[in-house]
Amino acid sequence: MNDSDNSTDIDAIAADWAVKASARDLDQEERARLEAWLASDSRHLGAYVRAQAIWQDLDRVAAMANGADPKPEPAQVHSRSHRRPHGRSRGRGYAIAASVVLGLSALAGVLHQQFSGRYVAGVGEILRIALDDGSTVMLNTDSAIRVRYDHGRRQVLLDRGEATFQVTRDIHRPFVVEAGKVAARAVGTQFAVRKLDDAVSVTVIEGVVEVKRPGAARQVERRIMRKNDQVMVASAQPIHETDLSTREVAQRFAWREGYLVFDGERLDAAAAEMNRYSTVPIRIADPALAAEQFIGVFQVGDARAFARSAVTAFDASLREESGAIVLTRRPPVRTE
Amino acid sequence: MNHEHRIRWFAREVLPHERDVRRWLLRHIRGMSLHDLDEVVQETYARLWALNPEGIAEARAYLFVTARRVAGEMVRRSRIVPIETVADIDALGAADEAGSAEHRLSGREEVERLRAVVDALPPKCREAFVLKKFDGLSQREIAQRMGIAESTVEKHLSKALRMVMREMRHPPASSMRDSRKNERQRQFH
Repeated sequence: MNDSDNSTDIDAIAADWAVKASARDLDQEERARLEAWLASDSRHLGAYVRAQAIWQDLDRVAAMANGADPKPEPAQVHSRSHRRPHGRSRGRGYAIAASVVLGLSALAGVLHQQFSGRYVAGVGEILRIALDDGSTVMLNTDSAIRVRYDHGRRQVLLDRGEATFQVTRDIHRPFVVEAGKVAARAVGTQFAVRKLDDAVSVTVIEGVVEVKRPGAARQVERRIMRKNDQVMVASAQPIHETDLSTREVAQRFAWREGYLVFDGERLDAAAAEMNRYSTVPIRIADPALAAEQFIGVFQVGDARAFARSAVTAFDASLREESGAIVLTRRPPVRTE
Repeated sequence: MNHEHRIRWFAREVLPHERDVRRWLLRHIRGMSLHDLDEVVQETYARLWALNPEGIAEARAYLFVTARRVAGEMVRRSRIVPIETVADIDALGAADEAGSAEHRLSGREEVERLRAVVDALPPKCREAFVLKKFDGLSQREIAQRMGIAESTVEKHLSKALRMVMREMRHPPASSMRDSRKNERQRQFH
């Protein structure tokens, strides 16, 4: 350790480098300076690692803050510019989040008449798929789609699971996602489709989407959906509509940034959501514990962090049992 | 693991325990100033980095043990005046302490703390930081929007990061505050 420079100065320099290096590739001269600085004192390296970790972790805390009300407002920025966490910031999120990122546009161009590609995301995988019209698909864990583009339309079949679609505008070729008997049609927008066992949900993140399904009496049932609308379509049931807040939408699709956000959901529901991404399931063995309201943000697939956090929050105990993490209530119950 | 993954590992496995480690060191090594503590933390991170983090199952325990070792070395070099002897410091059960209650901040607390830091930033600095971390704009976009040079944006962001780094020195839950105060009084008497 070096006596000459003090820890506050070191932190300041480390912060400078962390910000620079996170945004771009350092040029040769900068890289040389950084390396010389790091090599001159082990504390410099430690401060640099810490600064980068904190800078990166701010994305997680900011995602939580974005999900909370009210958001911190910058002094001189119109709140309107703020309201676009789905547009710009997602782009950055992709880069951080997608555990596997595929650029498949070259492949997608090869076979035009048929479904040119089938894409499958395994458990715990999140795939970003670039389609050749500039649209992108984020394919969530344990999901599969087939894509077919022709002159008149852009068609995607959701065979299972969940995906969000960022659709490049093309008024001559509508973009249609089919899941079971439900079709969601858009011109240029962003929306999500999830296929459940006996239902399909569609959520509009931006723009307008038309949802239709074959109705009872030969006619087709249609709904026009707008931003933050969600419909749940179950067979032989009326279409069920829900208005979500922007905050709820941001939370539900935080998986695209590699996070799952819980804000007061029941613990068992939160665990079920975590389990979608993990081969080590979390089970809640106590009904009262299962009904607790849970708050937290976790990396997709990090079941253990989730379990530890639940243990801390609810004074529960944790054991591993035949490939599962089991949470139980630890008596006596602490009141907070 | 590549650089990015290792940084993420630090963010996930080490950062949440830093406050606990700081508190523990302050409690056990009297005469330790905040600057000494920062040095210990910096050196500890450097040593953890030198290991292969992927191979560390119990990051919290490693953090405690490493921090204790670093603090012990500092004491031996008389960088700080210990009231407890060096032997006592070595005897401190860092691993035991690591196994005791975690004072992990809840999501709400984290958000509140970040918000407090953001609120205290100078206006331009705050604007750049919010555009970066909350709206996800790039440095270039922020520069265009604010009508300033990208290098100035970087300065603003760096300052904001420094403030967050500084905030991490504070103890975790509100219940900790009282014991901290007592410690500090003891320390200076």
